[in-house]
Amino acid sequence: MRLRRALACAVLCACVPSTEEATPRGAAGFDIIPSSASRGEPFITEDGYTITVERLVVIALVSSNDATVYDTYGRVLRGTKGGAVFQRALPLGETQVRLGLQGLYIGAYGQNAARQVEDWDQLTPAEQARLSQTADSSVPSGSGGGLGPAALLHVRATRGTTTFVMRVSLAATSLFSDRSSNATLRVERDAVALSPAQLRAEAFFGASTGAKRFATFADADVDGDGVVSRDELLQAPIAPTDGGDLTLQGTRPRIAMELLLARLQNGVLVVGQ
Amino acid sequence: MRARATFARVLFGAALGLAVANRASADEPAPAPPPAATELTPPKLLFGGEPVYPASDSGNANVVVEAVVAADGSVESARAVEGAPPFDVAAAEAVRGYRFEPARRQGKPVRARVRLIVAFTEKTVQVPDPAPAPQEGRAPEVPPTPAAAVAPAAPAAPAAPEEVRVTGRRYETRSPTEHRMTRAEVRLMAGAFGDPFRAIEILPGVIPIVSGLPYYYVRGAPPSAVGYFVDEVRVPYLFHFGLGPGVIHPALVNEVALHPAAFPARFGRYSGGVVAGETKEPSPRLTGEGLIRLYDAGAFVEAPLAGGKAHVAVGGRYSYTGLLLTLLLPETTIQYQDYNARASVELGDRTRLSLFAFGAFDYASNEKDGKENVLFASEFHRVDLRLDHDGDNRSHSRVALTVGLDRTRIEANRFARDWVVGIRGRHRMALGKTMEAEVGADLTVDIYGGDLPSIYAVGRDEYEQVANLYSPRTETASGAWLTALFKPLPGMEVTATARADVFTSMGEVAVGPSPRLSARVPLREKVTALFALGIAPQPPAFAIPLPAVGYGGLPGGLSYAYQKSAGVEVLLPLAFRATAVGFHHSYFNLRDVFADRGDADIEAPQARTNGPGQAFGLELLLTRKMANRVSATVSYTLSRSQLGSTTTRPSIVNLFDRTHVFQAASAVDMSHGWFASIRTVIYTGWPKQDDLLLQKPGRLPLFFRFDARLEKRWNWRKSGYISLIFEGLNVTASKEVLSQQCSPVGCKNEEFGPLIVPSIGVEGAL
Repeated sequence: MRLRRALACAVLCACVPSTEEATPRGAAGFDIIPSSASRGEPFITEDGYTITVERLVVIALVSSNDATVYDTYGRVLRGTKGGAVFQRALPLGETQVRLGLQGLYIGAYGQNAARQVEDWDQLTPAEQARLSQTADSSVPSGSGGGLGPAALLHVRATRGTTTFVMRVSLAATSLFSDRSSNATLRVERDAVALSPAQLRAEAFFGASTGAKRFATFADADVDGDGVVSRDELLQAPIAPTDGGDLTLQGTRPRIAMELLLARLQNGVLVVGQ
Repeated sequence: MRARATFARVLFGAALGLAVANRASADEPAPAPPPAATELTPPKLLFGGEPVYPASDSGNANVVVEAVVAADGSVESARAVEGAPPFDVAAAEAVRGYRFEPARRQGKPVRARVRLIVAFTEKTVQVPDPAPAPQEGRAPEVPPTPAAAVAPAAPAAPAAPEEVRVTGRRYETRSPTEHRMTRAEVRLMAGAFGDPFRAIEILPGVIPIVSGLPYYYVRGAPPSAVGYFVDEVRVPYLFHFGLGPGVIHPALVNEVALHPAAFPARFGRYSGGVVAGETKEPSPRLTGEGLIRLYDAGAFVEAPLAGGKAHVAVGGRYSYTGLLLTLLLPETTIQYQDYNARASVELGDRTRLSLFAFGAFDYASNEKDGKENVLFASEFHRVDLRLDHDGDNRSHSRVALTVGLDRTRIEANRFARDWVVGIRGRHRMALGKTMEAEVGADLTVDIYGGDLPSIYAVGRDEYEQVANLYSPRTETASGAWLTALFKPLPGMEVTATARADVFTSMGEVAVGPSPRLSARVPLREKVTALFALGIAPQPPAFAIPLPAVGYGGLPGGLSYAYQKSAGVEVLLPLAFRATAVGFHHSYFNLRDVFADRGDADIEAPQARTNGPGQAFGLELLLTRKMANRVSATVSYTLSRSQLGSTTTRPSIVNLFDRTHVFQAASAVDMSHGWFASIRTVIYTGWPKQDDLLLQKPGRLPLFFRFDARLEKRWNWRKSGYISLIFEGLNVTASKEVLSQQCSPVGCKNEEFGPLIVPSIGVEGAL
């Protein structure tokens, strides 16, 4: 017995002590489920367009006032797949988390920015390139810096023999929606608490604000080539009622591009079932 | 390739030199009548130790050593009276460690002076001629000692001389620009605390980062590019944390070598240099050593078994720094322990099976606001089973299996682990009288298994970092080599090596060729030219060598060093030896986290590679091993280390560059058991970098320190001793300037230290 005790002591004494306990932490966030439209299933607008979302990519992030680390740079989500987005290293107990959108820091501030976005390597090189450049919705700054696109949207709209294609990258003008994007969750040790949320591509066309319509964007195609370009979206005025009660940085959207931005921020990512 | 040398034949005869001093000691207070020859019993060699074949030489040599054997059987003094350097120094040094059954007259032990012939023989060259026969019947000399001076007459010669054969093994090739230090050489070196590993920093080419800490640049390569080996077994670190001693008990260490370029073929996978410790041969008798100091205690015991056919040895060290630190730094905890165990058995005359187990543990923390903050918590363990076989025609083979475990605490009860399994083998053979060749191969498998934190409990950056450094993965490193040693002329050696290593990690594969060429060319008597060229690849390594911590996936690919050096070695009068070596090393893709102090990111998930760099300089070394009671080592390095010397990036001086590094150490045997030694270290400061706008360009102030050591030794019984040792590192309490903070009104030095290590110890040996 003495020998065994001595051996045990010898072994234990030779090992690094492990008496410290790390402060228990957990995570909380959102489980984002794409809608059928986001997954690419066609839907018909009230003005008769059959819309197919060919590509929807967003960079979502979660924030909490209780965060102990500040290294959350968002996660790339595909409309075809969805996924969980959460804030890590939160203290145990109840916490409020918010769901938002954020593009990459680009330009002089963007060193290694892409590395900090989860699942960045799941994107195609073309998608990575577009998300690393100034968004179509933004006016390039002199320095080329700032936040890049938070969403890529590729849409095909068909009515009768007319087909429109719209491919646009959109930058969020604020990180979080004015509408309900919050959830209160209970954080448990080494676990993640998730609240359901939806990724709704149909919101770009008014699903959350009444009638689903595409005509506003079709009308923007002033050259009639079937491609709704960035420049056309930036120049196409819209009716005051097209945006419903949506605002963008406090003002009603006035052009087609602003309408897309307002809907991106207030209806594409929605907390709840 | 194996360069086995069997050497040292000691012919021991009274006719050549036995002298017995009547009234030579207190044992014989009164004059005795002239003794008859038959009453005199000559000293008998009990333990001859193992003479060290000079690393820098080759061939055969005979040295006549005159030694005074005390009445207790110890060697009071020994000096070479015939023979050429460096063998004369090596022979005298070896004889000083001998133990005798003392000479006796009428049964009483008396002092005696003897002459011994130590024959150095390198069988790989040729079988040596028989050592000169002793001159039987010649009247012995009266020893030149005070006691001897009053001896009335020299005694008659004893009977026929006794021949004692001492065998040493030399299994490996040596490179011409390497530096070797035996434990005997550094034992008295001030500031080394009797530890051969800690004496490395005195060598030229070694640029300390901070005084006293065992982390250094070698010819411009950072600590992460310097490999550590013990008996060819890779270890993560050789020194205990901070100012701690080496991880192998000094009594087990035969010598330590620094290979700054063109390493011997068996070493690879490091770009900057290799520090290799070698354990001593098993002792034919019971030996032991113990040391108790203010902050640690250690012991080592070795015993022969089965009539000398087997040997076992155990040793270890345990720190109790808490006692000292409680007074000085109550919030700091430092612990270290190590163990060494070795067993060997001779399987016949030519085969030996050995098992060598060793390991170390280190823990350092400080306490803040009642919470313990762990700075360092690591351990490693190694078990090496090897079989050595001496074949015919001077051949030698070694096969070995190594199993090890490295652990480093990441946080709380989570660890990074690395199970290490390695096999290696090499065969050395003679190809004629002037050529030897060695083929070898090794394979190391590292099985990492870190305890990763929950992805929910830590930040993403932290998780990515630990996942990169500690993620479960299996890595392999395999190498093969062919090396040839050509000795066309006496004293001339040309070594050509072809080696290549293959690295795999997380699906990535990299191949690193590593050709090497070195030569020793005698220019004239006592003057030899030295050359070394080599290419040294290395996989990505963490900034500071830590157990089980490394970058997975070979990010950035291999680093390469192109090593070039040439110099001259001169044997000087008074047993001095001088070497002057110029070097130029180019580094490509090297990771040096310290390359830019302003942007050091030691926690970066990936190793950041630096642009091509270079280091060049001149290394001077002047040594005198203990002879005539005095030893000395003087080293000076004039060097420049640069980073980013490309067409697209202007070169900058490495921020840890030191233009001048000067060290001088000397030890004196003051007789009557007193030994004193002193050492000085002087080096220039780092380049100023912190504030280019406000600072004047130049360097930070130079640093100097003095170390001192004083030992009083009492011999007991036949070969034992007890010593009281006072030693201090940085006894001048010098502070080191690490940076300058500047404002428009002026600059202020930011100092570190003084880092002082006082030590009082009691050392004893069987």
